[in-house]
Amino acid sequence: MNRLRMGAISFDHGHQYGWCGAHLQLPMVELVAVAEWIPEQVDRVKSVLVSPEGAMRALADERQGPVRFHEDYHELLARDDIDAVSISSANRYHLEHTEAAANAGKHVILEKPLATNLDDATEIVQVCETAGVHLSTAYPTRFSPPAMEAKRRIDRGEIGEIVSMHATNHLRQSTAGWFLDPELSGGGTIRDHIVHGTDLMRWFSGKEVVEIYAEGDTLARPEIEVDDVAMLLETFEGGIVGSCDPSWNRPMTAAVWGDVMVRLLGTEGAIEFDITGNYISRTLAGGGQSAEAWEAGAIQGYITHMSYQEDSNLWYVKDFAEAILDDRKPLVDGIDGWYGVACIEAAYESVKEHRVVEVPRYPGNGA
Amino acid sequence: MNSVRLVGDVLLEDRRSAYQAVLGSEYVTAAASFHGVDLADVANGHAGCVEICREALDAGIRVVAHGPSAGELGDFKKLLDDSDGRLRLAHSVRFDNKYTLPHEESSDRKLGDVITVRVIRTGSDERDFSVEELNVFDALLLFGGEVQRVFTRRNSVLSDDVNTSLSVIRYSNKAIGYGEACTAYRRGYFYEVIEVAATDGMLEYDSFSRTNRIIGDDGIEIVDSYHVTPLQAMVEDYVAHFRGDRVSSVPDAQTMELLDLAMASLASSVSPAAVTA
Repeated sequence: MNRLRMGAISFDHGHQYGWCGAHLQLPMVELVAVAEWIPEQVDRVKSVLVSPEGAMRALADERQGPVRFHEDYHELLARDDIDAVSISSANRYHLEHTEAAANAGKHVILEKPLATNLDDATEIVQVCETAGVHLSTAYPTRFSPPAMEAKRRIDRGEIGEIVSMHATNHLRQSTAGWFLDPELSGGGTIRDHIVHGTDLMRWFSGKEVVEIYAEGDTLARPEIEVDDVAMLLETFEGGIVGSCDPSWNRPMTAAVWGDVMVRLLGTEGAIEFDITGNYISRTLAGGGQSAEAWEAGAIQGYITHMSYQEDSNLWYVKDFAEAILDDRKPLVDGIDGWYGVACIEAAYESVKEHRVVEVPRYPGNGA
Repeated sequence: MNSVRLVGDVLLEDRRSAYQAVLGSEYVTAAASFHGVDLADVANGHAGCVEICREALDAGIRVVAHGPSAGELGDFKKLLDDSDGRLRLAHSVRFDNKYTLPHEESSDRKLGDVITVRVIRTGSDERDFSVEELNVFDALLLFGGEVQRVFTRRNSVLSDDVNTSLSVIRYSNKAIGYGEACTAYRRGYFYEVIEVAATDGMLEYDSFSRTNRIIGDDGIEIVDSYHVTPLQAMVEDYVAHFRGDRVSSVPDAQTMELLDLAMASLASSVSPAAVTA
């Protein structure tokens, strides 16, 4: 196999369009077919992706063939010209769709959060393990240019050992549709938005969250049925205490949709970036925090790194495709998604109990 | 300030030169006693603040304290109770336009009900951690009002001393707050965030852009908030209060509320559960 043949199942979450853009553009990927069955979404999928004149088809390279449409996703999964699928259905259906895909032998990109409860998340990971297919949780924020630059600098030891971490993932008060239906979404801002910041902090530090304290409520739009504001304190292995603010609390008039902002303090420096902030990251490198270092003139000030404004979905899907083609694990796997759900469940329990809640460890070996 | 004259200081040598640069060297002399002093400004945020304040009060003079250490909160509160109005806490954020501007905007509810408040003050050990922690709590109270419960984690980062405090609070009106005080960063670094989100808009300030931004129905308005230095405004307010010219803009009840929150935060920092403030 020198090209990964993809199918796309469900466009409930708009991120599917971003992934399909990557499927169309990347030279090692081909978008073979899409499946959508909700009438309000079918027309748009057909007009944008399936029609030869569709707006997104302009992204495709010359090797891209026609994109077939299926109203029944089982038909898509039965195709033998598809190797992997990207699934972006409402959270409640993630297990059903992933199980069907894995049993059909398809590798899976699955929208975050992995599931609406930890049992489903465990089953999602295990059904893929049993079927021998790769599962990747869609955390493209790891692939945003400033996050990748931060990771490179951390791995080179530029800020030493991480001792403090903070993340925000704000959003305008704009969420609509099934996201606001607790049966379909499994919750609001905690379910939807703590996963990116928490995953970035896990990835940068190599440490798992061990306990969480959280407050959350429905305050920005009292009429909706899910939480829309929250604040979390997350204690990681080694006693590092971090914070995560996932609130959907930005006014509709805010200049950008929200943010994914990370601040890291290390023994030798600090890094901070916002993936919406023109891809600028700032690094305080060299010299450490000591008064002696300051007096010795070892402080170099900020190193400002401006990244190319590239689509993180491209890099995310590229890694997934190369992982399948090279038979290695994707950079973001199912266990990463499982820990996201474990943190979500702990946070919701903490909101109810007003106390810290322990985050469990993945019960299997993980793959 | 015409009505105030600095007659002496008990400063570390390296700080005295900074004060001389601002105030003029003729005003700065090392003071060995409180003789001739009407008002002492105690800026020691480490353990010992209460002792210095008590000594000054015993000498019959008035005192402005910038912040007792966490271990002294109870003693400071008692000293305040017994001081007959001669001891005041600095409350510098309540005289800082970066803070007072969003407070005024949020108080008149032009942007709707406050739903979240974030206050972050991170810097180096050039700053007193205890003072920074109190400043963060004071700002959280300023924007959100009465606190129902608080959960805090305090730790020592790159230091033997506690220099980091992260708190999540729940206000009585249901709004949620986050406060972060840290002096573990490199010297020369200071990062400050003030963010008040409301149902119909938000106010934000960060020390990189150094502007207050009001985001409402009409888009984003940027407001330059640097008009007076907070310390000057505070000293003017407190001197007028001590002289009986007018009542301070910071009532004693607010100081007590701040100390109660700080004490509840301290208790929660060694507890698995939030503590009622």
